[in-house]
This record gives sequence, C-alpha cells and structure tokens, in this order.
Amino acid sequence: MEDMLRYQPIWPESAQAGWNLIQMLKITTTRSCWMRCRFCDFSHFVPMIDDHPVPSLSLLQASQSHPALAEAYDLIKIRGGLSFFEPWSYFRSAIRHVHKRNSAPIQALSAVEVQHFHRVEQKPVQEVLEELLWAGATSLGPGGSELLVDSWREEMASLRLSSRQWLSIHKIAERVGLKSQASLMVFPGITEEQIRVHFEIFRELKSLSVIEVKPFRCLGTQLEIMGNPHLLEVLATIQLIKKSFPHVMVAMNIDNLSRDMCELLQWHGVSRAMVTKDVIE
Amino acid sequence: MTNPEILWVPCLKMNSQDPAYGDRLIRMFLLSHYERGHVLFETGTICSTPSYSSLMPPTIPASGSVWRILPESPVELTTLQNFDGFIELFVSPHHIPITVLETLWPGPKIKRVILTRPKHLSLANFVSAIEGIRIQFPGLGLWVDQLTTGWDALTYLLAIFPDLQPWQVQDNELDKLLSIGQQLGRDVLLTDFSGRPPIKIPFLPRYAPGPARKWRRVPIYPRFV
Ligand code: SF4
Repeated sequence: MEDMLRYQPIWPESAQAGWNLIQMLKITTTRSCWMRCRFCDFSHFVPMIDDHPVPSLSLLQASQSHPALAEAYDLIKIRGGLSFFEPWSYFRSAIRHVHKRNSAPIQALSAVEVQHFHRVEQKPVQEVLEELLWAGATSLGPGGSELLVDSWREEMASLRLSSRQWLSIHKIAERVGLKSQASLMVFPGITEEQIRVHFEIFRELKSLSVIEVKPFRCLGTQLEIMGNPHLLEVLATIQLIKKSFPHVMVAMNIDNLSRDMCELLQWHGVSRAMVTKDVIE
Repeated sequence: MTNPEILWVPCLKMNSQDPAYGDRLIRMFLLSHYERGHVLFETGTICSTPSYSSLMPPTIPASGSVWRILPESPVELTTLQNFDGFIELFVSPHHIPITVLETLWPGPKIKRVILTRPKHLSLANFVSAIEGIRIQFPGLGLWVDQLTTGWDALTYLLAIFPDLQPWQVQDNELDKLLSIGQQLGRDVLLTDFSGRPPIKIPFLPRYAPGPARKWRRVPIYPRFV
C-alpha cells in the first residue's frame, strides 16, 4: 500500500501544448504466439490451438494486395505474435511490399522478434536489423519493453528476453539507423520503484523520442483476475514520464477512450494520440 | 487516513401513490444499507424516514424535511424565502441561480447544492464552473451527480476538489467509488443526512494475491495429459 503510485492532481490550465492525432494502420502478423507472456492475449500454447494446427500466415498476400495499403496514414504498425513456421525472409518481403505500396513511416516488429529470428536462423542481430531497415522500416517497435524489471519479467514472461537484452538490441537498432520505440505498460498496482528501474534502462537509449503508454487490458489474458489499471494510475504514470523525460513525447492509443479521458490525457502531457484507422489481420 | 472522506449516500426514488407499499420499500432499502440512505419523494405522499427530500414543498416543516429544486423547474426567490424548511438545490453550470445563492447563502436554509453536467459540456469547462462556485460561495456543500458526469470525469473531480462529494453512485458501481478512494488515500463512508454516524466501507482486496511460484508452473497442455 505504501509503495502505491500516487497521483498529483493538476489544473486544466497547466495543459501541455500539442495533441497530434496519429492515424494508424495496424498490421497484425499473427494472433498466436508461443511465448506465453501472461499479460498478452496472443499467448496460446502452439502449434496446436484447440486441436487445430496454426494456419499459415496471410501477411505476405495482404502486403501485396490489401486495398487498405492504398490509403494515407501517419504510421503503419506491423506487429503480432511469434510465428512457428514462416522464416525471416517471409517477414522481410512482406515489410518490403508494404513499404513499396505506402509511404507512411513503418514501425515494424520488435526486439522480441529480432531475437527470435536471430536464434532460429542463426543470423547476427545487426544483420536482421539492417535487413529490416532495408525492407523499409523506420523504427523498431517497443515490444518487449512493457516493464523492464527482471524480477517482474521472470514471473510474467519468463521465456522472454531480459531487460538488458532488450536494451542491447535497441542500441544496435539505433546504430543501424532505426529509431527506438519504447513503451511502458501500466499494470494495476504498478509501483514508483518499478517505473524508476524501467526508466534506468531507457536512459541508455540515445535516440529515444517517444514513450508509448499502454494501460494493461486484462481481457483474454491469464491475468484477467487482476483487472485493468485505474485511471489515476495511468495519469500518475504519465506524470512520472513527463517528470523524468521532459523532452520525450508521450504517446497513447485512444481507440475506445471517452472524450473526458482524452481531455485528461492531453492535460497530463500525452501529445501523440494514436487512432487505429484501418486494420489488416 | 487523514485525508477528507468520500461520502456514499445511497438514494431511493419513490413515486408510488400507495403509502403502504412505499413504507415497505423504504424499509427494505434502509435494511439493505445498514439503515443509511436518502429517499426522494417524487409525489406528494411522504412516509416517515430519517433522511429524505421531496419534489413538492414539504408542508410539515419537520426536522430534516428538505425540498429539492431542479434546474428545469426553478422556484421564485420570494417563495423560497417564505418557505419554512430546507432546500436541496440542483444546478447546472449553464443555469446557476446566482441570486438565490447570494440571498440564501451563507445561511442554514440551503443544505446542499448538487451539480449536474449538461451533455456537451467539456470537462475543462465543468471544472471551471465548479471552481467559480467554490470561489463565490465558499463553504457551500457541493455534490456532483455521477450519472450525468461519468466516471472518468468524476474520478478527476474528486482528485482535484477534495471537498466535492459524489451524488447518485449506484449500488452496483460502489466498487468504482471504492477504488477511487483507495487511489486517493481517502476512506469511503456510507452515510445519509439523518445525523446518524457514518459507516466506513472497507476497501476491496486490490490485486490477485499471486505468489510467484503459483505462476511458474510447467505449461501442460490438456491434450497431452
Ligand atoms: S512475445 Fe509478444 S505476442 Fe508473444 S506472448 Fe509475449 S507479448 Fe504476446
């Protein structure tokens, strides 16, 4: 109880300037993943899901022919679970097609996937990242940085890369020329100490310009019983980010949020409001 | 906890013409809320209950008899001045009865002011309306209607105005009020306006008590067992 994150009320007048709506195209590679992160609704025990083998992906086809790719967006996000069968070259080609068909910046995959391909294809991390850049990605997604506290990760996502591994992949990404994206998942009961440890890792990234705040959504995960974080926990987390990284922009997805909530986010310093315009699954 | 408490006043609306039935309903309502609860009589029939208000001017000025004035049916100032009883004033930020408040406040007649939020009023404007009333009429008991305000806005309002109280929080949403109390470090008290002592409502256990080793089980897929 004592280590609870405390919200400090602020007046609407102290609103920070700027509220950019970012229209997004979300491309989901696959909705199943073997990594069993407890906070993720993609985590299923594969290769069997309810007696059916995992279907092969349709990402490559979609990237060549989906009509949504003819529209204009501010950002294209390509993300999803870890596939069992498709090789790295499959994803690389798909990203290349997306890039050729649409000029929006592409935030593709994440450190988790990069490490996966590094291992299964025995390809140096730097090479995977260079090829990602070549394919057309502008930044590496923040996946894997939900909460960079190793004791917590042991419990919630024990198969995943450690905080240090996440950091080293992002450092290589920076070197290669991909922008680093980082995130912070707000869990119910998140403590100031956990956030502080999380921020220590971020401080080592040179090009960090955006932190995406992701309130945990319990539905469909193994942690459903925990419920969602409280509104005041989300606001207090944003306050901590603004305090620790005054020059970093705070982003948040505002799909399905109330008008009041958007107003509150704006006062508290969220400046990139992400809206899902289209989805390719 | 030293912070000011958040009050929860369960409310029952009575529009029954049948006093015998009304009596039973009120009994049940009070029994299920540890004898705390506020009753609104929408029709003229008033049954005896410790905390109530009515939409008609109560004829018997018994102690605790309160007249609820709604923004859509305002009452002349002179009528209010001549009324021998107490007033529960509903106001909307678009129509604040300044003259009524200036004449009757400070004074014992106005028991509380309940703010409702018009549909398209932005949160920023609602906040400044509330702040305006607080500055002009310091000490006035201000309540804010949950049903028209919404939970996101109410959460923020309770955080920024520690003396504001929530109105019309439904029984099945009490958990939301409790978690606001928990986040702000403020106790939540079950109470009404009868003068009976309030009852502290314990917080809900917040998080799943997951000892680490329970989470770290071998992932066994039922098919293979
Ligand atoms: S690695 Fe990503 S997609 Fe897979 S279970 Fe974990 S969070 Fe979900």
